[in-house]
Amino acid sequence: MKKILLFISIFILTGCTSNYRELNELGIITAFGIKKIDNEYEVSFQLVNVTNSDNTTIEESPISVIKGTGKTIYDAARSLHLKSSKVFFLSSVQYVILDKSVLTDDLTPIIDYLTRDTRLSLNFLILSSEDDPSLILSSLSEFDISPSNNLYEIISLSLERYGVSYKLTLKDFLSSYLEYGKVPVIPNITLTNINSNNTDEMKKSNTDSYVELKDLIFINNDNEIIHLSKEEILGFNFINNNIKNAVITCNCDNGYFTIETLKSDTSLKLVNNVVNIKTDVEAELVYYGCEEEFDSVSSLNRVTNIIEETIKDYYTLSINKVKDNNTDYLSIGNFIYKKYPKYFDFNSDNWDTSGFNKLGFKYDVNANIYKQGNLKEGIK
Amino acid sequence: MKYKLNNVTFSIMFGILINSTLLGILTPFLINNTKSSVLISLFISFILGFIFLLLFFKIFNYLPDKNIIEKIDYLFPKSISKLINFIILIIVYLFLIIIFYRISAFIETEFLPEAPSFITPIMLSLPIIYFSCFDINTAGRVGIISFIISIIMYLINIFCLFNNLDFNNFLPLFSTNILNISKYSLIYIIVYLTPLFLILLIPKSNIINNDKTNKYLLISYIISFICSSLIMFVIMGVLGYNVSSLYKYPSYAVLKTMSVFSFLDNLENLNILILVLFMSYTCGFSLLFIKSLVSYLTNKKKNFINIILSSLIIILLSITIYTISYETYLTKLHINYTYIILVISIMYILIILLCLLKRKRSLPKTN
Repeated sequence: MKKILLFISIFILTGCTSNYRELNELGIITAFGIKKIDNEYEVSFQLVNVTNSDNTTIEESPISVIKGTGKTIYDAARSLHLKSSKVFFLSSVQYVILDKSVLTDDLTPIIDYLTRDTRLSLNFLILSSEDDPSLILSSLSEFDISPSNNLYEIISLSLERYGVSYKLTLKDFLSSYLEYGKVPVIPNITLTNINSNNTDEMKKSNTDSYVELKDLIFINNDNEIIHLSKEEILGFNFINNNIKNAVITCNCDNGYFTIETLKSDTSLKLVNNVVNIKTDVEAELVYYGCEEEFDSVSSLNRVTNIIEETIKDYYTLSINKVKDNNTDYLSIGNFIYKKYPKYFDFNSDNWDTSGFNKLGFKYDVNANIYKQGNLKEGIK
Repeated sequence: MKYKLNNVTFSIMFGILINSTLLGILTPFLINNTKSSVLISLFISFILGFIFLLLFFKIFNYLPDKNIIEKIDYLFPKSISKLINFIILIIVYLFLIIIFYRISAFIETEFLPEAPSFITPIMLSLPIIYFSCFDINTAGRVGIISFIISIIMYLINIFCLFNNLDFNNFLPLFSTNILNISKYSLIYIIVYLTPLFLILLIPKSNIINNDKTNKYLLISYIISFICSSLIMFVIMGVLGYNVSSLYKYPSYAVLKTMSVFSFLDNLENLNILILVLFMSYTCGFSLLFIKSLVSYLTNKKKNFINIILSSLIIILLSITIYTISYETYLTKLHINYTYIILVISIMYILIILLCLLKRKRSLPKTN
């Protein structure tokens, strides 16, 4: 009896039923885009061409992009089987591009699709684009054979080494959408010189067609797309503690100096309707081009004062943006909900219109430059 | 009962069994009901757990050479003891159905969505039936192997997910009132400790060096509870209440955010095997329990035991296959598995209390 059971178990537990798939039957999807045309969804899949993906030179495109339409996103995705002989494998998706037509519409169908599907992970990025998602997906990069890797790294590095980005994963997108006092802030991708984008272009050393991170956007209460400037993005990232190595360039007498932040820590506190934003920044001076010499403690203090004022300006700009659009993209409301739940009734009142505007703001920024590279002073 | 277990093996079995109700049952239940107050709720549950452990120790230490079936047989007249044991058979069987159904539904939804719904339960039942063909000694060895595999996976999971924690997700600390928190904490701990009744199948005298068993079990309870609380802690810390409450299996969803050493992704299917392993183990152990009960109720006629066991397994499979097909219906009917296990647990607690009461009454007679 035991032997029979063992024998049958071994056969059944191999997983080789009629539904198994060989690797070459799978269409590995690395990214996809969703667009809305009239009342239909258009889904574009970026599939890896497995046979070409190990080539180091570009003779043929390492990817294929196909698109289909349907009444729902799932319907549109499955309609791609009319064009492809592959079974789509969604576990390797690195990012999803949402077109502005989708972003300004109800986001619930998108969230439903992205969370209901059991094969999708929670770690892929959510991006937006004003260009057609299929064009972004079709663009190749001279930096990485896999365009999806390239774009993923652009988003990561521009946040980690420049500070002017935001890595919005599906998990963060969901929590921003569902939690009180938060809205999703989405990286906005653009494609330069759309017409010249093809594999021949990649053979040049100076291609003029590439994808780049243009800015960050959020959707206000009137369903309009609002773009954030570089300063506003820095303000957003400083307040939300997303900053690792940001680059800040400040004006000084007839010139500029640039610092790279090495550590940044921001804490918020609500005291008598005033939110105190306290930021400690440790930085390295990476360029100094001011008239005044950088040779004394007073000059160091002067530079740190300018940095502190610059960061305060970022905060002012960011908060004005919230007030102008009645949309709390800085997640101050979420901070209040979590730390001071009795301060505002989020269940029955609208935070963006009646909560945020009643707040005052106070900034306390402490900058500390403790590195300045090889040079002892500035070069005159 | 010729087998002998050591204290470590016994406490490992204890730890595995009590962690089997987490996946798809207790985790979503506690998160959905206590929201961001999960930590407070877990703390209350932990304290309350000692009361139930005390009850367990009372019955476990009484008549150490007998298992729960024999204890009931000893305490009550033949007809009543048969009736009580029959009720226990139904309770264990119900418990087995729920655990088996949840594990089958999980595998069917997450791993084999394209396979016919009968494949998963049949595939899963075979190793469980195979497991139940052996004695408790083998169960102990399987427990040790499962424990070693699980502890490695568990540590990797926790270590990798700790980087993604956002402590703001635990705020506000009191998202619901304290009465509510206490109520769900009590339900949580009762359901969490429900599988304890299975381990009463092992008489205390079958454990080597059994004067230290209670101490080992206490340590096992503390470690198991901390481990299960860490799972809850990580789910809330990484996903937060709003995201985790979207999912049927938040402990699986949180593993989807995991990345080992920043380059090994999509390991969730491997890492969730800890809980799948624990649940399968509990199903196997429940079958062992049922086997002993049937053997007692039918006066050890081997052929008859086999016929009843086979019938029960076929019923178990049929119910599971049927309910998987109608899982959406069950969800819409708001059938809460936690409450079903709670009823099972309360019934079992009543039986234990009855035994303890009977023991007290019978003591003067023996003196």
